[in-house]
Amino acid sequence: MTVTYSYEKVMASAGRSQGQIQEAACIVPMILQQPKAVFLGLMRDADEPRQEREEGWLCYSGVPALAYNEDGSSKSAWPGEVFLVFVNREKVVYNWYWYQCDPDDPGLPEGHATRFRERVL
Amino acid sequence: MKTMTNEEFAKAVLGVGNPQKPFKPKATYIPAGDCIEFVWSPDDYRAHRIDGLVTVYYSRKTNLVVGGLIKGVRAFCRKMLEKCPGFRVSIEVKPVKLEYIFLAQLWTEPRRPNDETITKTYEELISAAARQKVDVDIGDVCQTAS
Repeated sequence: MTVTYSYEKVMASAGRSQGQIQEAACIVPMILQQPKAVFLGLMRDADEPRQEREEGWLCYSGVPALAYNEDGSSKSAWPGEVFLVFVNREKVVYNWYWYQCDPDDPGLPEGHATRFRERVL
Repeated sequence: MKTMTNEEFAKAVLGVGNPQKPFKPKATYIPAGDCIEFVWSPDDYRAHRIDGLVTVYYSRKTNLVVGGLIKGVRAFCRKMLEKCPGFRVSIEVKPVKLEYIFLAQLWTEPRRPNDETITKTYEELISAAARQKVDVDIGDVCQTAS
């Protein structure tokens, strides 16, 4: 799969810690290539128009082999967390972050059942 | 458009990073995600989704809110302009003050069982956005949403 990255997001991350730059450079591609799960459709609240962010919008979830400290040195992945990468329907990667995992399935994000329309992987 | 390998991509991203440059609180509209990412501390963080609009970033050092993400900006503007036409005044002056967006959400969102925690988080976001003087250039996103 070929994706593009949001220029604005990459540049925003670039002004932060060395660890966050390393996340963008190394962990994001790792999760996109070896996700534990992929979810389709980012759900909003019940009174919102749903179609806008559902069709083709994906969230990749996984536990990378490592994480980074603020100085850019590597460490083991944050316990109890997953790394999420968000991709729009044009296959543009526009955000990523660490998030609390589902206590019953450590590869999935907490609340995944209500947060996404369906699991596709 | 050039396709990059993982190694080429990593090199390119590491090349644009400049952590030596002093950090400045900033909010960025990301058109590809129709979202606003705001960060007012360089601390590393973990994210927590508080409602359909906002995901908050908590510092790993202090556990304080250091930023977050406002999702579905276009839909939010459309909803706000329908519910509260006066909201237009807050978004006409550019760049838009971030606290106006949080205030608008807090004032119009129906109450929920875990409201107290969410309300407290919004209070924290409003206060920090005002203190840090964070505003965001969202172009004509809100104008075209109406």
